[in-house]
Amino acid sequence: MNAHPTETLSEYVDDELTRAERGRVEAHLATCAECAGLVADLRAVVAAAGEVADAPPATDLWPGIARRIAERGRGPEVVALESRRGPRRLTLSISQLVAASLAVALLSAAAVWTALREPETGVVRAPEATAPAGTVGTGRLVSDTGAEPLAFAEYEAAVAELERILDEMGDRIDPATRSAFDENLAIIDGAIRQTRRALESDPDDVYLNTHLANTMQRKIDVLQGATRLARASI
Amino acid sequence: MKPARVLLLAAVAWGTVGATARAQTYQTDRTVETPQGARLHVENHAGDVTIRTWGRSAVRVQASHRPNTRVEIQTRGSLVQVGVQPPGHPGNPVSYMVTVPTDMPIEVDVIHGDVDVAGTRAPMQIDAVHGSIRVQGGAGTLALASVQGTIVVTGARGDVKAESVNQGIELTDIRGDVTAEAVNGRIRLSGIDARRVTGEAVNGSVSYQGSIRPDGWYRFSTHNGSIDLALPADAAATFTASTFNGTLETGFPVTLREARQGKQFSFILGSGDARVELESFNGTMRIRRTGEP
Repeated sequence: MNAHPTETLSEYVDDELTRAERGRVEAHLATCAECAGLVADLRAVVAAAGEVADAPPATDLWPGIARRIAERGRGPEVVALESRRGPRRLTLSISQLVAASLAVALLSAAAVWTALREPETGVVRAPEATAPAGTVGTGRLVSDTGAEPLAFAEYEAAVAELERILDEMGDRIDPATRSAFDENLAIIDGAIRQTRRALESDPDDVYLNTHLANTMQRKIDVLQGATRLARASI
Repeated sequence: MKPARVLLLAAVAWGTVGATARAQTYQTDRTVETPQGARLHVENHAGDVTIRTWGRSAVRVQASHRPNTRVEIQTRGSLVQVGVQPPGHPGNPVSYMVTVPTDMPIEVDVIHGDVDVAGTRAPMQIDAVHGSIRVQGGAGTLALASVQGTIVVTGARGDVKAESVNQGIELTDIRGDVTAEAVNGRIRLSGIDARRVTGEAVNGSVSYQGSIRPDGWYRFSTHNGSIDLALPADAAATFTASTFNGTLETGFPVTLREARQGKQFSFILGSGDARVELESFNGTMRIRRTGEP
């Protein structure tokens, strides 16, 4: 199998390659599940970023994430997810893909904070990342010290904030519904634990990394749904 | 008659009248003419909502409710809003039968109750908390969400986005893009003709039977559960499949390429134009020809 055309995949997604380059990439994609999966995930990230652009959070978590990625990572530019309509272009290396997926999730979470908190406080305070310095560059986010990957720590902070809001307002949801939310969050937590254990034995696996990011996104989605429902029950 | 006995009899009589009134079901039946381009919004805290169609440019609201509940139908510009005062609750439900123009967009919010829509050729947005959603027809965009209820859609001619937290999703005979997401429930997609399909569960199986268009992108994923794809014999697509503890079985005569032995596979059918992605952390992924067991 040819070497992975990692540096050209995002240009491929943005349809910016020449016909010949495109042909070479497509020939490779036809025989490489790993790169084909990455292209699919890049497309999902771009699509998701386009969706969140219509409701920009009061506090945008992306600049901080992008800054830290830029500080630690090597490779191409990270384009900010500033609010603007129309087709957007994200230039991401493979090593930043998982971080980008989580950034989109975090932007969604921040939008919920905005919706939930603004009427009361007018100010939304983004959680601070607590993980130590990490490195980016091997197809996954890792920490120098072996601690939680940085973007995952941001995710944990987002989840903790949504859970705190749900704890505060959860009694506005009827007990049966609250119980259903709790049961399903437990199911998602189980999937996250299993995936994390799998990653311990195979930390470079692209599928496991993206699966973890997607499952974390699902947890944020469910928490958002629960907090919205609690808010609507006021 | 002694005063005490009179008071006692009066009290009994009053109680009987009150109980009878509380148990009585009142029927409201009103029809309002609707302007061109009107849309409907029904909000119901408790009770089922059934929506049917007719050829008139009018909305008919038939409601069964208690005497102490008042059904309100308000027209504000192009919006026809249906609700009750005071808001219902599980001990005081309101059941609706609403008849609407076939092409009238519909919005329904229900907390305790099922929603059943049939015969429309219009977009709809339906949100239920404790209740199932059943739709026959629909066009444009159908956005359906339930926390604790199944979602069943048949015969939609438009994009369907269905989300259930704690139950399954079943979409049949759909011509339009499909997104189906469940946390704890099975996803069954059959008779689908779409360019883009996503079926994702955390704890549940995912099945798909439908077309594979040359420019299509089809993505199916679950953590705990199997994936079953029944595809036309002439399907032309590039397949990628990923798993951790699961397996891949295919009824098509193909040579699998393994990017990671036993965990990530790819193969091509025909021109390979379409893209099909399967991911199951723990389950079996199966790709077969339509009609084969």
